[in-house]
Amino acid sequence: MPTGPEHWLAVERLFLAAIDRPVGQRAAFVDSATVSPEVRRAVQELIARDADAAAFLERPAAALAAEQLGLGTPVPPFHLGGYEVIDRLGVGGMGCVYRARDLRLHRQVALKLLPGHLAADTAARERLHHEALAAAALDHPFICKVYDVAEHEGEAFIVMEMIEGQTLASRLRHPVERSEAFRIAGEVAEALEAAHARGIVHRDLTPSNVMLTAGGRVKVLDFGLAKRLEHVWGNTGAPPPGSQDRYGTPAYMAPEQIAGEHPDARADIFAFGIILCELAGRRHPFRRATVAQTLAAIAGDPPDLADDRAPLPVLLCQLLDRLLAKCADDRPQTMAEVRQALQHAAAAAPGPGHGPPAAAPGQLPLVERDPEMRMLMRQLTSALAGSGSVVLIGGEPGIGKTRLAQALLEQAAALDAVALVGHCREAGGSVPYAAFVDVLERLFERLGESTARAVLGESLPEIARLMPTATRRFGEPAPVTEFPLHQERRLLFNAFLDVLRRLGRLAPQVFVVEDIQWADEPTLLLLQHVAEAAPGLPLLVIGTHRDGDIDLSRAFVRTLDRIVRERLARRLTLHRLTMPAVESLLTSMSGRRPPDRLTRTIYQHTEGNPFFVAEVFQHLHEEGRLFAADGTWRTNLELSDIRIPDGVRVVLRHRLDRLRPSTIRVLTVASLIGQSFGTNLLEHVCGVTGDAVADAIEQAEAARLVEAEGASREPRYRFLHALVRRALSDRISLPRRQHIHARLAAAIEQLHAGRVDKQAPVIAHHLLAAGAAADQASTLVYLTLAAEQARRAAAFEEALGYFDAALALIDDDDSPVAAGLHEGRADVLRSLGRFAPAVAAYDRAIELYDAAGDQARLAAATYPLTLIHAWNADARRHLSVTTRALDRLSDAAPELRARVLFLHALALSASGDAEGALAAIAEARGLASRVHDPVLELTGAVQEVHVSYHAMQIPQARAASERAMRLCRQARDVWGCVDMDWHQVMATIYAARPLQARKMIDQARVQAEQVGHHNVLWFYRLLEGVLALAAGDFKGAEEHACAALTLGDLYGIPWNFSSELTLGQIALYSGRDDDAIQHLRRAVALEPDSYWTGVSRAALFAALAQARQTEAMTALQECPPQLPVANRANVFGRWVNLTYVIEGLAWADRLDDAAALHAQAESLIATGVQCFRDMRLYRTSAAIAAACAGDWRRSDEHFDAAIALAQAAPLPIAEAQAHFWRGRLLLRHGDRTDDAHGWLRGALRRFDDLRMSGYAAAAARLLAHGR
Amino acid sequence: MSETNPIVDVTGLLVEWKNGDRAALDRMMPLVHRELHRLAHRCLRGERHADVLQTTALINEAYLRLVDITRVDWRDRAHFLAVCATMMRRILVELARSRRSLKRGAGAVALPIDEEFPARAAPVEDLITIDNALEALAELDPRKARVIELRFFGGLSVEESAICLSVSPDTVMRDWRLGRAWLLAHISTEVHADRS
Repeated sequence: MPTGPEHWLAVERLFLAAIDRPVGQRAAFVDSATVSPEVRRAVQELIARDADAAAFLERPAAALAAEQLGLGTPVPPFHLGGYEVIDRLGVGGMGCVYRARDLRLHRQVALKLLPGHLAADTAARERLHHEALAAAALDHPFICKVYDVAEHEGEAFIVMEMIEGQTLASRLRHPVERSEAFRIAGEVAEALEAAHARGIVHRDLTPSNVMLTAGGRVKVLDFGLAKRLEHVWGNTGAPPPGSQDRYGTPAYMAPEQIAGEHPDARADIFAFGIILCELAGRRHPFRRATVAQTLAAIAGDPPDLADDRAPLPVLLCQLLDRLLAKCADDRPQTMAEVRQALQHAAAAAPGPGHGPPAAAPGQLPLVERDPEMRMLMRQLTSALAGSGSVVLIGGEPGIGKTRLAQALLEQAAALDAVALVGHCREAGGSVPYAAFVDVLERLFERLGESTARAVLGESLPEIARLMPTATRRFGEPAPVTEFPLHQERRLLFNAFLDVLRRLGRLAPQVFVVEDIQWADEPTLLLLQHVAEAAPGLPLLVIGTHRDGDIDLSRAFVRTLDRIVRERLARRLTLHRLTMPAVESLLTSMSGRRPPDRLTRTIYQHTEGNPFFVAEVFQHLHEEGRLFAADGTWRTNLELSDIRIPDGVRVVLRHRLDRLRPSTIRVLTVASLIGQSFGTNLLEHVCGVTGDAVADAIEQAEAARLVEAEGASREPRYRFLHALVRRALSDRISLPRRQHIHARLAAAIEQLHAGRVDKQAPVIAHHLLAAGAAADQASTLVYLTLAAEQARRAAAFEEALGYFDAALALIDDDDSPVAAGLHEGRADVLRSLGRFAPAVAAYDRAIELYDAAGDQARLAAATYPLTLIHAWNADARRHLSVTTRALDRLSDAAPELRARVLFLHALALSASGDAEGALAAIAEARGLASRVHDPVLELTGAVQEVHVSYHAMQIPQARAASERAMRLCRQARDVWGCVDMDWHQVMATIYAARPLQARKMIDQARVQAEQVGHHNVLWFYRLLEGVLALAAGDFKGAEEHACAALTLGDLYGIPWNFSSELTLGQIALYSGRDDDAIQHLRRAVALEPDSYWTGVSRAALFAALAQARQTEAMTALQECPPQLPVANRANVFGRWVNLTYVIEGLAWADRLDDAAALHAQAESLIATGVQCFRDMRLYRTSAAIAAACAGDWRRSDEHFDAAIALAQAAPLPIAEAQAHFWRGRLLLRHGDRTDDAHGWLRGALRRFDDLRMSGYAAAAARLLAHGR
Repeated sequence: MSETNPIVDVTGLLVEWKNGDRAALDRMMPLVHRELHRLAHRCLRGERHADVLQTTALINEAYLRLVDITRVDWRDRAHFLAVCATMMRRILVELARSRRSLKRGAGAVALPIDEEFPARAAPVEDLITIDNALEALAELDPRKARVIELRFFGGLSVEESAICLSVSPDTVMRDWRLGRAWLLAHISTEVHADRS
């Protein structure tokens, strides 16, 4: 203290003047005083100290001495009145707290001994006694119960509930999860609300006065009492000098308390605000270096809510601002209001990075799961770093899977990850992918409009098929035309992953998918798909599932197997609790350590299943067996008297029996609605008022049977456990259940009138469950609607289930309704790649349509059926289908005939009849031009492209493909676009432009991958091999071709013989003749009947002719290849055959035979096509044929053109080959030997450069020996 | 002066001292000191609750034991108590010093339950520290030091202190506040100085 005597008088004067002013103005007053700086500094310090000094020297020196010296405070045990003091729990300024036993009531209590003698003032004593009574009357679960205020031999003490736990102050030394913070704050708020309702104000609410029991429950201490006692019984019998009415702990006082006004409930509200702030992870908002500065800050400074970590949720911020208003009138006026605002803030809080979903009120504490939690935390950390995973938590019902997942979600939210939960529903009646839809919907509710739109991006049309809300928010996307096979699903799944990727750029995601043992198959497949991609995403997916349940679906077991086998996910199996863990669970639930005997008994009966433990505890508690009136364990806890039911279901039954009958009725209906249910529907079906439903729900909530579910417009609840729901629905007979299901269906129909489509699966589920009680016709309608909806969402297994269920309902399988169901069933089977049953179902549908004379439907069903055959390269059946259909549609409307004719054209072309195919196309176009039908136009254009390509009419094909591409784009038919891209690539190849083709492939592949067009992807892979080969890169070519072979096998591509064909060619060029022949033989075996017309056999002949000449001719004679027919359109297989045969004959020196093919070769050149996709130039073949025919002028022309083309392309192998054949044929001719040698030397040099040893040897032989 | 009847002696001495005999005070002091010491030690030995241990009660007991209240004016009590306050200060500080020399932590058995910030029970409430600070205050402003001594060590009420010091209760209050603030500031500075 720097004050010297010379300044002392001035200091005293200014100090005394300052303290007469309100706290908030003192500092400013001193600053403005005209005094020396030393005096000002001294007074500033003194007024700061003055405020700090409130408690300083208040206790008499002797008491202080005694405490300091450890003297005087009696050491337990000792007796005090009717209490046996057992041990000391703590000491504070307010006195000592002891654990004691009430000798009269045999219960444990806490005793707080107050300092000081009783004041002689009887009025004060009476007032005190009155207040003590009021406080003692507070009977609330979150308020520490005051049993008595007693005095014994002049010593005053409070007798209160014994609480094992910690104070909130010590809890606050460690971070509190947002959800826990909200829960604690909520409980404190409830306690205050209850007290205020009785006119009791706390006046000294601080974190030290809030206890947390071992179970985490709040108990507020010293309500309106302690400070009064100190006041009345204080050491001088009067308020401490200078304290006016300012009791309260300085840092938590409201501004009006500091100003010395009498505090009311709104002072508690202010203190609550500070505590809430600290709970939310912030510092004390007015914290300063000294108490005086703190008080000044409370009085004058705005609260400091800033934090460099994460901002507080908006609603919470707003609430804090109001709670901490300087003027009591600006605060919320009642705790009820505060509690409501708090609930809103809590409900809104779990947005991205703002805490997890609100915890279930009756949620069990997490015990004995440390290793599991550590494992999950490792996965979480890794996911946050961008490398995600899927973890499957398994275990028996009630083992605590959800609880563990919840704990992880809390951690995730604390680490600013988006934490969301989705549920799979038991026993159908939900939209496909329900769990993921849950997650997405919750997610998009929280994202802002523009963010959501950005996250959806181009995936909107696909996501909208899953999630109706996306359509509502962002408008109906353009319809997507049909995709073949699995492709719709792949597109959808990839779209889902794209959304996850975009989300991952915003924040890491943690999803919990509950109860995947109930998941529909599409959900499981999506999970698998996500699991494959997770390592590259900041994403952790936790799936919870039951283990060892006998009714696990095969799909689930299969998926689980696959996911685990392929190491796509980690598994975590939860085991039962040990006895110590059961003990700590019971301690947490009861807030007290249970007697060992009770723990042992419960452990033995429940075998450590946490849910069972909790239910037994609740059951015994409800029976009043566990606790005495004061809340301690019954001392006469007779275990022989306690019967623990044999199974958890029996316990639940007992517990349900205790509910009001009206509650049971409502809950039973709810149980039939599902695991979660809305109150609107309940009211509707139960035929009772909203109040009655609310009463029932409240009772069920209190009994820990149901819990509120997130925030939504309609109040929704869910059963706390599936077993609760099961126990409820098991209570009633089947006919009653059916009756309720029928009523539910009707009610949903009524509630959603006008937009019932989206409810179709739910209604269908109830109608099916209603059995005989339901109207069959409407059941069929909803089943069909549900099936269509599932199909649109690419949930094919679900759709199949609905179709099967519908078909099972129909007695008359010959009806037109049945035809539609068969067709729908066929569609989904086709989409699932189950072709044989799909074909059977289509055939059945077509048969029924035919019988009913429904030509339109017949034509429509023919289309997908022909696609199956086309994709399977089954030309024979393809043709039989279209032929039969055309026969039945002989008198049909033009558009129907046209539709089938287009398909028929493809069938003809696939059978090798190019002429017939082109004729059919022409006829179909003629018919189609009479009607304006965009679908028909698109179908026609696409078929025309195929047919013209097959017929090698490239200019027509190009024109048609440009038209088709335009139509596909208009229809958003991505699949069709991919197809057309492929045709464009092929056209470029046929024009012998390999570099351009490669570029096009790189571009086209992106979209092909996006839609998962396996055929095209496989083919692009093979083409890469071909292009590498043409450039002389044998190694690269072989790698690609091998990969294509594997892919083709994997995808079941019927054209995979082409891979063998290419491998054969590579081997031949590399000089491995035997390998080449093996590959080609395999190609022959694989090649289906088609427009390829035995191209493998022709290639094999050419190779054999080169390597083993005699064998070649035998093969040729045994099975002559199909060659082009003059003056007709020919499928390209025949043309390619021609080139191989010419080359083979030339190798075999059968020059006359080759000469016979000269005319056909000239026709080939006339098509304008330069090469097949093996990149052998047609010009070279034509030159060979011309030379054999003795037309040297023509031959030279062709060779010149071939060499020029090969150099331009570039195609070095083709160039070398052209040199080789030119030299070889000239040498055979005999009169231009010098020329011949020149060409052969050129060929030799080129073959050497290309390391084509076989060809080089042949060229060298010719140069050396002339043969 | 009889050992067996201190009441008579102390009462007489008190009256004489009040009537202007300074020597009477010197003779009275040892008697009062002995009694206070005895009482204080009896209390501090743990026969009663420390929380209930009150300087006021103690001194009052001494007063009742040593002074025949029928023979003195009510205002004499204040003067007696004022004497006691000084003595009490000495007794308690002596006690604290002797204990401090014993094993450190001998008395530190209690767990604080007040955990809120800032700590309510400030660490500055140490008798020896306060005694030293009071010494310093007495040099700067004796009356304020005396007010603190009377109220803190002697347990006198504001009114009793006012009578002793012949000032108004308001003045006592003002002295108390300034004195207390000064002491806190002084002690904090000292603690600070110690640490650095």
